[in-house]
Amino acid sequence: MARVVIIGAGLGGLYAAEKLHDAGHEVVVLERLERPGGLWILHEDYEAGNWPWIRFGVTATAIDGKCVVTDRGRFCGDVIIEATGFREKTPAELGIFGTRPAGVFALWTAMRMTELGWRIGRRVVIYGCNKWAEGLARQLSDGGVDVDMFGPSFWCRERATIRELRGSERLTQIATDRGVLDVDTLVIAEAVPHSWLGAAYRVGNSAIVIDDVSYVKLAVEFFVKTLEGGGFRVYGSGLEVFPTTTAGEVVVKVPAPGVVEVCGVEAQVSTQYAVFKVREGCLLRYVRRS
Amino acid sequence: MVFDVVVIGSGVVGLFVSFELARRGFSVAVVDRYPEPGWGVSRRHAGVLHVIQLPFSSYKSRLARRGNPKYVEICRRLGVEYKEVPALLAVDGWWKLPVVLAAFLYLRLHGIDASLCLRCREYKRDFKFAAAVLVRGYKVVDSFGLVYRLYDALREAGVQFFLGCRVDHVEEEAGGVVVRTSCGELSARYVVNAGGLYADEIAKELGVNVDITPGKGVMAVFHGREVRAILAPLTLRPHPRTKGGAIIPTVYGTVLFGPNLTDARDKEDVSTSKEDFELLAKKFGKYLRDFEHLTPVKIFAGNRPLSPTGDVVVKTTGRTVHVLGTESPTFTGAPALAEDVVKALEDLGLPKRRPGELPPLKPYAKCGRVVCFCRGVTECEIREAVGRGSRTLDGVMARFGMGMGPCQGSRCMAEILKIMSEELGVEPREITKFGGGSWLVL
Repeated sequence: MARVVIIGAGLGGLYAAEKLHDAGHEVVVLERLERPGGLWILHEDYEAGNWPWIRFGVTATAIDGKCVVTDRGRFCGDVIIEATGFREKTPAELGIFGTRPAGVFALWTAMRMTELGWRIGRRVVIYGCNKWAEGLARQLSDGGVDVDMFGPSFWCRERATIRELRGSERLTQIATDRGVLDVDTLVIAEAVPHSWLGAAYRVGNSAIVIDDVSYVKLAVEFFVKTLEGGGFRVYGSGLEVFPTTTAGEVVVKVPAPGVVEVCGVEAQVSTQYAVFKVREGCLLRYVRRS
Repeated sequence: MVFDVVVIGSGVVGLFVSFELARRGFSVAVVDRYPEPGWGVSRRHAGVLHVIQLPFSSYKSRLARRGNPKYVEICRRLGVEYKEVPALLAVDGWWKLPVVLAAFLYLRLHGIDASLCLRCREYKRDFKFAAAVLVRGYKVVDSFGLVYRLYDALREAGVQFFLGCRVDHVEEEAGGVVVRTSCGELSARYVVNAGGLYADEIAKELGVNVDITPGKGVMAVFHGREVRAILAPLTLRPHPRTKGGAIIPTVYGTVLFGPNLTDARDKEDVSTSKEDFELLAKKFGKYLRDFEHLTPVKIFAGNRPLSPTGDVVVKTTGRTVHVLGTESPTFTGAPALAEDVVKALEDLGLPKRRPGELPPLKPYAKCGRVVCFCRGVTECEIREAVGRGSRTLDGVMARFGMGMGPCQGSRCMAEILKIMSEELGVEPREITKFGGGSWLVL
């Protein structure tokens, strides 16, 4: 039995805690906010539960060896798992130029502002396509806000690329490859995995951005198996793989429907996420779009 | 009340001038069009303290050499973060070695602490180049920290700030000067015009006919690699659009490319384009290891106030000292320039006094919840920033270097806004990002 400290009570962190608890380990989940769920409160398939192991109102600031440094003291354990979620891409990273007016929010900020009861805008564009962004769009339009949602990736129902922002004070216009939009707010929902604290172990959106509850859970289960029994390294090329140290199974995320080569065998993938069994020394390669 | 001196402009020049005056016990008021201190030219400075500024005979070059060493003591006293970093004037091919040798000899002749860096192993871990001249004495300073700590120190010393007040008219009279602003009239015995990009408009009111033109510079910030030196490519024929600029480490652990020099539509034009970004990436990217793996954090622009002579000019009229053409190296030279401005005021009749020391500045007290976990900023610090005069979100965030990294303040912005609205006793929809109509909540 081990003591496990998990940072972040989003779906990834909570499910990892549940699995590890069921396996007989002692778990504690540190959560910065006063509620569980993180960004998942926006997700249609997220269900809040009663998790006894969460410590609310604890903000982790660093990892020091086997301890997590927080504003409420140190939390030490045998294993530390970071589940702090993704990072939204920056405008510069997305190739968005022009001015830098007010009214450009990262998805997380937009969620928190909405949660606190503040209206983020009147005419809003959400840039990036995932289930959390859809949830925010629903919430905003229920509140009478005019919302448009599109993104640059293949998995977007509506595809368009933002080139430039205009407006010297509040945002007034967005120039895209499909034309110019008169809006006062841009929410950036394009996200990448991010380690905020540099932990050795990461789960959830901090490790791989997955907006499908069942695949998040599979990813956590594969990770927990490796944590307990060890595993081997797997490498991906042109696609995202999790866990990168596995006991035999991984979740992959592809940029678009296409052909994936696994251990020398080609397979057709038509969904954004898929599960593959792998052997030691295997390479997972995204071969081509279909 | 009649102030001894009204300083127009709260950039580094205006602040250091006010600092020198406050040390001498004069009553000072500072007026600025922007809602936070140093939000004109200084806000968009890369934070580099120069050693070399050509031509060596220019006033700005002499100011930079006098000002640079003063920063060690200034930063220590005010608690401002800075890094001592050498600058590499580098070439990308061995066939350009004669350029390096020529630059080295030229700099040594002018008494600059330069050495040849031919193998240069230590810096080749960060950069890709053939050979370089290594110049010591460069620094990168937290420019926001400097501005805000000076501002805090001056406020504690009794200097009055009129921020968000535009100067409409300046009139010299027999016994003093009247400065009419959008916030009312200020009377002073003397005036210092450190209006940066707008200094020419004030100077013209008093008969000094100078035009300040904006020299736009675009900068790009990247995350993912920390470098231990500034690198400036040595070129025989500089590209007209990428004149100057360097790869610069920041105090936030990011790397900055730039600035370049492009045309500005007007003095407020700080927009950027894809071409700007590509030009910077192309010019500097090849010198930085793993450049392709770095994350672009932000791209932004600033405007240098260029004078017709290309140098800093100090001019006096009846009771006013005008500081014109304060482009980038003036940041380095500002502590020295401030002394010269005080001398110019004394020549106009300001009594000569010996400078004393301002009371030491209290550091921020850390307590309560951590709001920004990246930089470890607590709730109490946010409240104190509001108490120290910050009314805008960008102002509060800049004080602590929040939002400077790849997370862009994503996880803390809403919480900061909440604390600010509590502390100011207003609704969040009454708080702006950077003043004017930059509303955050609609």
